[in-house]
Amino acid sequence: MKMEGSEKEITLKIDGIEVNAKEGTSIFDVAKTVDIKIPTLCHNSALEPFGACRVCSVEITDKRGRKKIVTSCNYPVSEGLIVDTKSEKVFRTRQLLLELLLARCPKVKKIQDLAREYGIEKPSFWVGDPEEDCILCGLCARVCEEKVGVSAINFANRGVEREVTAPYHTISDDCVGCGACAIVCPTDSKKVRINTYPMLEEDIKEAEKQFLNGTRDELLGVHTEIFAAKSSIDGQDGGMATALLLSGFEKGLFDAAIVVKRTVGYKAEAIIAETADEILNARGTKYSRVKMMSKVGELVEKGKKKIAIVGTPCEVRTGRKIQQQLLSKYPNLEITIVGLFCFEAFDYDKLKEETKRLLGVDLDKAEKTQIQKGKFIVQIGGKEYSAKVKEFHNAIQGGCAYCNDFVARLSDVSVGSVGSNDGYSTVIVRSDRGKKLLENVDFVKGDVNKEDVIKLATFKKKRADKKFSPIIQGTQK
Amino acid sequence: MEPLNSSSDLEKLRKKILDKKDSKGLAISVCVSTGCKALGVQKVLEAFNVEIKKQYLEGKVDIKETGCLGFCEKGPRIVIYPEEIYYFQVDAKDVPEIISKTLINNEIIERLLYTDSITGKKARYLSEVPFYKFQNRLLLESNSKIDPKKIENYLAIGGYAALAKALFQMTPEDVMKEVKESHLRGRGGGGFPTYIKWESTRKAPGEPKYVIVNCDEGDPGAFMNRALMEGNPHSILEGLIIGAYAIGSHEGFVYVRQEYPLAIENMEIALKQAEEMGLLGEDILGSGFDFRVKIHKGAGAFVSGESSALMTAIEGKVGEPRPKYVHTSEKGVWDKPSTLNNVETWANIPLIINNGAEWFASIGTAGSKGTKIFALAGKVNNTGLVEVPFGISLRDIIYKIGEGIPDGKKFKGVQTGGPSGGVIPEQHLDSPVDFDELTKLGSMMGSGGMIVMDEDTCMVELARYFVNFLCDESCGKCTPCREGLKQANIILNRIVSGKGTEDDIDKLGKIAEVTSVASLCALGRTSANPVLTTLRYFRDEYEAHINEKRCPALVCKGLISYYIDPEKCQACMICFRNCPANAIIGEKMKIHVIDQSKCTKCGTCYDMCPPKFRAVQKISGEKVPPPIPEEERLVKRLREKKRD
Ligand SMILES: Cc1cc2nc3c(=O)[nH]c(=O)nc-3n(C[C@H](O)[C@H](O)[C@H](O)COP(=O)(O)OP(=O)(O)OC[C@H]3O[C@@H](n4cnc5c(N)ncnc54)[C@H](O)[C@@H]3O)c2cc1C
Ligand SMILES: Cc1cc2nc3c(=O)[nH]c(=O)nc-3n(C[C@H](O)[C@H](O)[C@H](O)COP(=O)(O)O)c2cc1C
Ligand code: SF4
Ligand code: FES
Repeated sequence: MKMEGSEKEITLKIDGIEVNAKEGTSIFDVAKTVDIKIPTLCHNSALEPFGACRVCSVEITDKRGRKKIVTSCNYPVSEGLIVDTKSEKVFRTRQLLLELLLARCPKVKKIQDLAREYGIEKPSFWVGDPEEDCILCGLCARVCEEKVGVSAINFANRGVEREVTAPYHTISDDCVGCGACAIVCPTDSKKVRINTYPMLEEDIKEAEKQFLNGTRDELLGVHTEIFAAKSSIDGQDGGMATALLLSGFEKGLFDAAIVVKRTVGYKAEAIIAETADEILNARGTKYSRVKMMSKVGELVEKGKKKIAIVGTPCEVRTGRKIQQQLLSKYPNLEITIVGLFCFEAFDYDKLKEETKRLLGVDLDKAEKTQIQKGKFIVQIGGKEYSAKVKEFHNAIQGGCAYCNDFVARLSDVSVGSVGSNDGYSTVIVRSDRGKKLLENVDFVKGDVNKEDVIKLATFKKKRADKKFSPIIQGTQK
Repeated sequence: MEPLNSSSDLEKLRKKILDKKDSKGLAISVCVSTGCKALGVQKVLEAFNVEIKKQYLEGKVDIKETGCLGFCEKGPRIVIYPEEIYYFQVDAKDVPEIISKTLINNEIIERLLYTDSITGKKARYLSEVPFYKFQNRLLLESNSKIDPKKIENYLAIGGYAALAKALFQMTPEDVMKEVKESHLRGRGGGGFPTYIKWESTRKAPGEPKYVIVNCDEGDPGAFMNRALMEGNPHSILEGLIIGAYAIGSHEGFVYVRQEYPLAIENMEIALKQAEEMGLLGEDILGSGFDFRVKIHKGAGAFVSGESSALMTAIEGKVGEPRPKYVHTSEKGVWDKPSTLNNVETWANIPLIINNGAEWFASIGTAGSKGTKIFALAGKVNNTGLVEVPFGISLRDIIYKIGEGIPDGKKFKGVQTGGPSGGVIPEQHLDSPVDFDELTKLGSMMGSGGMIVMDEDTCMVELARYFVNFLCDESCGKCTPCREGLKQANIILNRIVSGKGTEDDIDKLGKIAEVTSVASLCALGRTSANPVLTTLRYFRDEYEAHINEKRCPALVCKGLISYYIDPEKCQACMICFRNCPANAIIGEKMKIHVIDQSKCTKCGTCYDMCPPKFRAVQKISGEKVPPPIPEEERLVKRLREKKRD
């Protein structure tokens, strides 16, 4: 339930202080206005209150004079309410809760510190796995569902077996690597990094160091070259993405590539291409996000050690994270990554619906779709139907607004359409591997407009920063 | 058929149904509920159909497939009308005889009558069966009279008259007044006054308002709600429609656990029939009142029955409890005002409207009115569903209806309130069954589970069992419940395995303290009850386990040993041959000895030793006497003979 303060002003007493507040606001929020600090573990003001950790317990006295322990993060205030945040019973309740939490997570500093404030140095209870670091506050799962909108990490199991994990305990296909889960986690738990791939700024820097080579630009990322090019392939723009993949394949840089192909109608799917023809047939952009990352794991399991991925910035990031993890187990694994510029992707079902609604045509019949100059263009039977991309906002994939990377900063080479003329692709080379891909590729160079790329990259980053700001503010680490 | 369009349409139809009934009223009702089904009633039913054809009685005898009357252990159960003769444990091969003798000639077949296991007396009428004699079956009685799949049957016993009365002779306020004055309290566990909940939803801002039936019934072993849903779904539906009318709701849900397929089927049929007749849907009986009902099938977990969890599940999300500082009656399903009541609560409504609040309030105690259905189980001679007026003593339920403890054992305690209820000991057996009295004793009414325990029950083990159940059934969302139960489970396991330490009781106390004040939902808040009540009434047992390493009830494997009394062993070789661990050393004529290092404490030897010898003993808290020397193992009688 959302905590909505109504317009009605009421008066209540917290620790003897009279406070005015809007009826229905949480005790926690009201207490903050008079500088009364209440510990919380599962609360983040950007998210709906959850009431799981119970550490924010306070004691209230109701109209009939009865005292009761309630959780302040979600107890709505009303006229005449009397709140005691420091009573003996409150202290005792928090003390016992913290002792239980410390027995669960004995090495977590945050819990140790808080427990110490309540007089607990060592739990008298049984300690299971001493490395356990998740207190099951659910913030990661909730931020991912409520805000980011992808549910890449969630609760599993009931009762004492409860845990947080990516669905099915395998590489999450939905994770966009935005890092929200890691940001909100009060204990910096390892759990959010098992099958999901939060890429915080420091993670990105580390990956850049590990895989890339060039000068670093805040917005364009690490790179050696940026130029416009047109290949002989009739691709989405200059066909460079496909040309680079074909070149790498022929040079033996990889023997399998994960590419994206239309299946039925406009529906797209990640497939494993093991021939040049299969790579070629996957050319052209499909503006929907597909499930791709679990394929990496599959290929490696099957014994493939030289793999290529082509994907949007979120896929590139998570791809790098997966590569880092796999490298510890398979040190000779080689992954080549071709990144695509991307401002946002669509959800197939929603896009189909909106295309029908806005353009009156069936997306599944599209020969080609394009985003150009702020317009979404659908070609059917040689005719073009279009409307402003903005109008398709209902169809945007969850997560895109939380992604701050436009140019696929962690790829070996990025390709996009912004920044070059029609029929050309903008290419950013970021690593030796990227350079190698480019060797002997047939293409014509064109003029590149770096400013256009930077403009969109800035715009995307700002949008993400704005989305993240309340979450970061609500985080109490 | 045309939907009924007025109260008089309904009465006309009712008259038509009653007139059509055979004047002789020859009928056989057969219970086809889950309990009797498991005992093979389907074969009995088939036999009746075959036999009726054979004896040219088609169309002359009404075979009714009815619901459950509660005495399932004595099923399959049938009733022969018009004489109302009850036969129990009927087999398909009894059928020809039942038809030719009882049905046609009113002749009683003695062996099929109920035989009192204690007095040996036969009971010809239900009122002579002790199990039924002391009940007051206001709700369950109809289960034996109607086929739940036929709305006409329900109409024949006066069904939907209460609805017509409410719609045409009463305002919603009148209905509210009646419910208020009946003092009806919820049967789902908490005993919350029904009127207050309804009034709160009625007054809460926000549309639509929802009314919901809770048939999650997660209490293990309980089946009161299932019996009503399977046997008389229309009575619940009628109550729900009346409630909706009073509250001002036009949409309802019936939440049923998936594990109740027959309940779901019968409720689906009931909804369809009621709709076709104009008793549900648009413009009910021409009154202008609209009301629709959907069935929601739930994944039957214990915690799913908790009100906020259930409502979250109806919204299509994972059914987990959520904070309820604003009551669900004001902000429930999709944050709209929602009244949730238990199956049994709803089923009481038509009775109250038909007979009046005054009548209802005349049954029971000052604080608890009407009847309550319990699922009587455990160490008691008669088990099954019993419906009793509030105020009856626990002793009467156990000793009069249940006819006491089997095998001459002593009563030790009774668990009420389900897994998070508590144990009530001998000294409180005369307490009246009443919401507030049970709470005072540290237990609770719950939804009606009642498990009787005899002297062979270990109270620490019992607490461990329930805590272990709750560990699996808690949703795991909030710290106290999840972590507290986990720790309590570890401590109790330690105690029953003989490794308990002195501070364990204090630790259990600490856990109880935090779970009961700080848990998010009532599961956690009541989860300490089994531990607290056993500690309150049987603390000495905990202490014996911890301090003396002794299980007084001789139950806990970690604390008992099996020992063969050399004076009593006759070297019959039975235990020797049956011991699955090969832990018994013995041969013909030689006293058997248990190799304690091999013994797994399965108790086979104890169970197998012929009662006339009783040589195997269970001991606890003391050292097993050393095995007698090899050379002295000749059995006693031979030793004596030798001496002679
Ligand atoms: C969802 C999405 C949004 C984009 N948004 C922008 C944008 O805002 N601005 C911009 O400049 N460029 C954007 N692009 C990139 C652009 O559309 C072209 O893909 C890029 O310029 C390469 O063109 P090309 O002719 O070289 O590619 P091609 O040679 O046609 O090859 C395209 C490659 O992309 C792969 N691919 C196609 N669809 C997907 C997908 N959904 N997920 C992963 N891989 C896929 C194919 O397998 C193929 O290998 C976007 C791409 C995608 C997939
Ligand atoms: C863990 C838990 C399980 C519950 N299970 C049930 C149940 O199976 N059936 C039920 O009617 N009420 C159950 N309840 C009680 C409901 O939350 C709710 O109080 C009840 O359905 C309200 O109906 P009543 O007022 O008619 O009793 C349960 C409560 C808890 C805390
Ligand atoms: S008390 Fe138990 S069941 Fe209830 S919300 Fe907390 S963890 Fe879940
Ligand atoms: S319950 Fe309030 S912060 Fe966790």
